[in-house]
Amino acid sequence: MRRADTVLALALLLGFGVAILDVSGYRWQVALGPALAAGIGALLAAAQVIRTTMAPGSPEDARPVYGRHDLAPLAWFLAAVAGVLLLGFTIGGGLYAFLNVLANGGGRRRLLRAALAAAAAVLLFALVFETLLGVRLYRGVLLPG
Amino acid sequence: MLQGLVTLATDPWLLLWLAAAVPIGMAFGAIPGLGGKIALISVMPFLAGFDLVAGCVFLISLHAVVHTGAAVPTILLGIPGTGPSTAVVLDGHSMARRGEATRAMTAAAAASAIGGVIGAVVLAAVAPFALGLMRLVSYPEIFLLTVFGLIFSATLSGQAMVKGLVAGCLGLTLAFVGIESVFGVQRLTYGAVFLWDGMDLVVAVLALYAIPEMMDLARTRKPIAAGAGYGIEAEPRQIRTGLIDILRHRWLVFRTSMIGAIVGIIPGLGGDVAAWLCYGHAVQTSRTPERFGHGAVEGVIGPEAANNSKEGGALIPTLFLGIPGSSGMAILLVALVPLGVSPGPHLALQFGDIVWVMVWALVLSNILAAVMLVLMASRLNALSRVDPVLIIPFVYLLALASAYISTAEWQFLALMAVLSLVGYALMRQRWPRAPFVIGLILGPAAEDALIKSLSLWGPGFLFRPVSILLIVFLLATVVQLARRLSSSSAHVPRGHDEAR
Repeated sequence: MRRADTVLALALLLGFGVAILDVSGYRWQVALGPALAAGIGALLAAAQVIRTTMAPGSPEDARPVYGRHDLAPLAWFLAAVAGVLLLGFTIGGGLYAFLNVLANGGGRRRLLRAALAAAAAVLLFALVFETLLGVRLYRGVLLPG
Repeated sequence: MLQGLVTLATDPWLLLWLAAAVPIGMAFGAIPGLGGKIALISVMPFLAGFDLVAGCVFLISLHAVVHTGAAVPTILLGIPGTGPSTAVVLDGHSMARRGEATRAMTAAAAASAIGGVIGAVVLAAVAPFALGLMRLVSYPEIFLLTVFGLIFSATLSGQAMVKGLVAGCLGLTLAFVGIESVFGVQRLTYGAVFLWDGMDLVVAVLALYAIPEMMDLARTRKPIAAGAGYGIEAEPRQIRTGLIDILRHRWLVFRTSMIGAIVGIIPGLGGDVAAWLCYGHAVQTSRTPERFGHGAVEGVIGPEAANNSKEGGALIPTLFLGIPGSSGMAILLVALVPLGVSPGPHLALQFGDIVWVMVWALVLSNILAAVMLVLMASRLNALSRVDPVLIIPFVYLLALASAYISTAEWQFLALMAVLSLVGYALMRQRWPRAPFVIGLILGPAAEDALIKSLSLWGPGFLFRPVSILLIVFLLATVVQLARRLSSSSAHVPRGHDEAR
């Protein structure tokens, strides 16, 4: 837990550092806001790193916090993003809903539930968003138009 | 003024248009990413055949209830339906996870209705003095209000104040991404054209709240309201409790409605600021501020009342001075043009009778929306008991759709994925996420007001009489709140208050 805290604070410190470098060349009116925000953020993130590094350890810190149970949800979300980016909301979304429910659902009727979920996703995007609301959604890089 | 009510109440067609606009407005609020502006734009093509009064009633009713509908995804799924709903996510969704979604939605509906009515009353009462009131508030005061919001966000973090401040600074830094408005310089875009318009609030909020919450749900594989101990039979009791909550916190509802209406009057501040200021006020005035972020009903009531009362306040500069108080109000003015209304300072003089009909439509539509939400709350709450396998893919897809609708750039979907990882890490490490959102919302307004204040008054802007009063008041409230939070957090187990 504590090590992960340190890593997170270090990552944010790095981000603030990059932001400070970016705005350092601008005139003061343009640089003032981001420099203040990133500067204060960097100082506080550094303080957090020191705080977590110097603090005495506890048995809780020794236990691994992240594992497979974290990776699977992350992977499924990234799969949703990839599906939509490649095949668009209607087809990619429908396919994603089908695969997600099929893989994660249990019981004998999971194929049926997966098919219904896919149909619901396709109807939601094609009928509700595109047709009823007239919202043009992303079609994906692999599909024309 | 009463003539407006008579006109509205005696014309069945007007009531019919009002009744039709309310569910449409609520639906636009309930679908994340759409909101009031898209609702107005979507109905504009159908307004051509409307007569002037019917069109005005339809538009105002549609726009007024968007936030009431937005309470549904905000509370049930942790997806803010609109920008100002982000202030409701913290406690509203925590209540849903505790099995109290119906109570939260009932309280939200009632607070929204009362807020909407008070907003309309403020509109009627303040309209004659609107110009004088607006002259009192200038860039220095707007800057100080935004600074207060930022400092306040850190005090919300309790024991994790340093982490809260870091998260707030991250939100602020990301708020400056894009083309700077005065000099036209690209900042923190690293050559990415899609970032020229800045970081989108919808993308950031969904990535910080909705996606990590769903990932957590997928990790635990339990329904949203798992182990809550509330069954279907408890629904009527939850509705009763939600209404009692409003009675118990009636002064909070009143105060936050007034704050919301006043913020609405000030052009440029908008609903996000109103909602967060009122969330802050609810924390500040609570005897147990450590409950906030973990399902305190006041954290739902305060911002919800402000969300709807702000609409009444925002109509004052829009209708009486011809100055749209927000982008939503600007679109409302544009939508009035096909009906024969020319926006400008003489709008209220030219169409005085219609303005009062609109005020009454605002009142009635808010009440109708609240009744509809309370009636539907129990059925909607069933969502919180559904197998998460059936909910999670749809929330992911809807969140992505919201991000795309809000930005119209596919690159934001990839950016959302990256930000979701940050959001998940913040959630799992129990870093406060609210300061990030507050920083992102208030950053541009704070910078704009600071640069303009410095340009007009120099550093002396801090010594304007209203500024000095505000500084003293803000410092006193922040110190008082920090003291109360630190003393109350001493009674809270370690780590408990770090998860906001």
